Amino acid sequence: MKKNFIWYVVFFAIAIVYPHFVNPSWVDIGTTFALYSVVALSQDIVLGKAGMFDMGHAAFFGIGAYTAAILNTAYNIPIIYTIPIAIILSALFGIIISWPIIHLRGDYLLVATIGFNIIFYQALQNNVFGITGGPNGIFGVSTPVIFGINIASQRAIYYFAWFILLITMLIIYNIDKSKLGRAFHYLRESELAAESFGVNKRFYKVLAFALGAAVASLAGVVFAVQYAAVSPETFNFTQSVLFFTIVIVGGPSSIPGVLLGAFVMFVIPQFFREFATARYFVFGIAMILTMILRPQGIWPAKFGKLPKYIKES
Amino acid sequence: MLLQLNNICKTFGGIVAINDLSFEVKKNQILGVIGPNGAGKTTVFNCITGIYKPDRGKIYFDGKDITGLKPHIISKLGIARTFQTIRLFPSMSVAENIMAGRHTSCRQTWFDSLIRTPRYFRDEKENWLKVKYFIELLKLSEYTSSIVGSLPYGIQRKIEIARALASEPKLLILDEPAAGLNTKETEELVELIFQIKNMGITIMLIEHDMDMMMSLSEYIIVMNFGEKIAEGQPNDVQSNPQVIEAYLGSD
Repeated sequence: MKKNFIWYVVFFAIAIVYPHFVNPSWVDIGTTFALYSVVALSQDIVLGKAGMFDMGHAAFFGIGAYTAAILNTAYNIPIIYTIPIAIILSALFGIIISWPIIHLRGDYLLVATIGFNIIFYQALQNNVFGITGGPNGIFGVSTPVIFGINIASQRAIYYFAWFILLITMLIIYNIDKSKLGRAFHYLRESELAAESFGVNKRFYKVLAFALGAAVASLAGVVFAVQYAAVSPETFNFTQSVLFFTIVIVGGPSSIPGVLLGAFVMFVIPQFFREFATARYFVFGIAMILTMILRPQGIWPAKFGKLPKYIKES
Repeated sequence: MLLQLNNICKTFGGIVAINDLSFEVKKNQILGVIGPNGAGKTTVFNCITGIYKPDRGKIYFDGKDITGLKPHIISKLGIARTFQTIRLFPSMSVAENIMAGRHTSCRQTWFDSLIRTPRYFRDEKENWLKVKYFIELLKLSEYTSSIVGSLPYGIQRKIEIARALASEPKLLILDEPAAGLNTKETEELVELIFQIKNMGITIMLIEHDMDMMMSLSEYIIVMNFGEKIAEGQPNDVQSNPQVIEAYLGSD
């Protein structure tokens, strides 16, 4: 615990000084890394903790981004107020979407969530209700003002994104060390045993989707702010595959694992920009190797970290 | 009376797993269910715990009709079980496994968990200390933070019982608890079951080990082909010709 805490302090200390040493395009990459990490951690609630194959998570990310963009550009609602609305709306979507498919297992659930993502993407593309802007998306999303400070500069948005990541990590940590997280883990490990000890399967599974959707939408709002725009491609099925893979490659249900996964899957490819699409080739091989050599992920979850008083005799 | 089964029927496709089964379990009794493989014993347990819904008949527990209720609700009413094939949470630690038994007793809501309210801290401490108590009771202290999947079979059996006890049930259902245990471990188990009875818990068990069944059970139900073919005190059952026939076959 203490050792981990020191590592997290080092991690955030590096993040704080980082934008002062790199050029603007790398500051942007740092911001997107933080946001993708938030989405991946939210995906991990559903996939890593509760063990449900959700491959449509980019849609919840998109609901957050589009809610902020639509409310801000069409109704002039300040970004900061769109955050709670986006979270509630996305959580509601999570509940409504997952409710009828929650009993599906493994691959069946996976296909159903892909379907959900495709419908979401098509809805954005086809400008449903005339509010999504079609294939071009929406431009001119403004910046949030918090306590009179306008989060407008590239660095300010960077720090805002990292603040969101910090909050998310705290929430995930709290989930892990509580009845809530244990219930998710029990369901993943053995549904039958979990139910036989009072875990309400449907309640916890839907709750995992609602929480995952809520956190992903928070990242979505900041993502819309970062680019001052939203467009459908950022929230399509391929993006869901990316978030899914980040969790699996990094280490399901492990905070450092998911962060590492986001680094490997998103940041490292940025170093190889000049190779253009050839980099994905190397990348696919890296994924295959990880699964062969470390099927539990690069940094797997560790269980058995118990409160001190239980081990003293 | 703690548990009562009235005319339970359960079929799977065309196969009759249980046919018109009725029996009662008295408070603080040790009741054994025996019968050849495929007699429907585990199906009975699965009907009681809500994993299967009986096609016909009623199950009453502690005066309440629990027929067809969901497993998590039945668990809340005070029935805990172990499984024939061990079903622990393999990648989690012993303490975390046993904590599953405390799930219903934990009073924190999901929101308390998320933002760590004072109730969260109180609730966690209270329940972890309970877990500690059951770990010590079953002499599992040295394994507290070990990952369950890597522990020997006999220890895993014990952890399953500890998890069930941690839920402080009124009725404990043991599905072949001695399967895979050596002689010494089986002796320990018998002692443990008597100890559990002394805690005021009612016990139902399925077991193939006849000697163990005869020495443990106060009352025995014998099943064959989904039906009850005999019941009574161990001695009476043992000499019942129908039971002998079921076990040894007839010409």
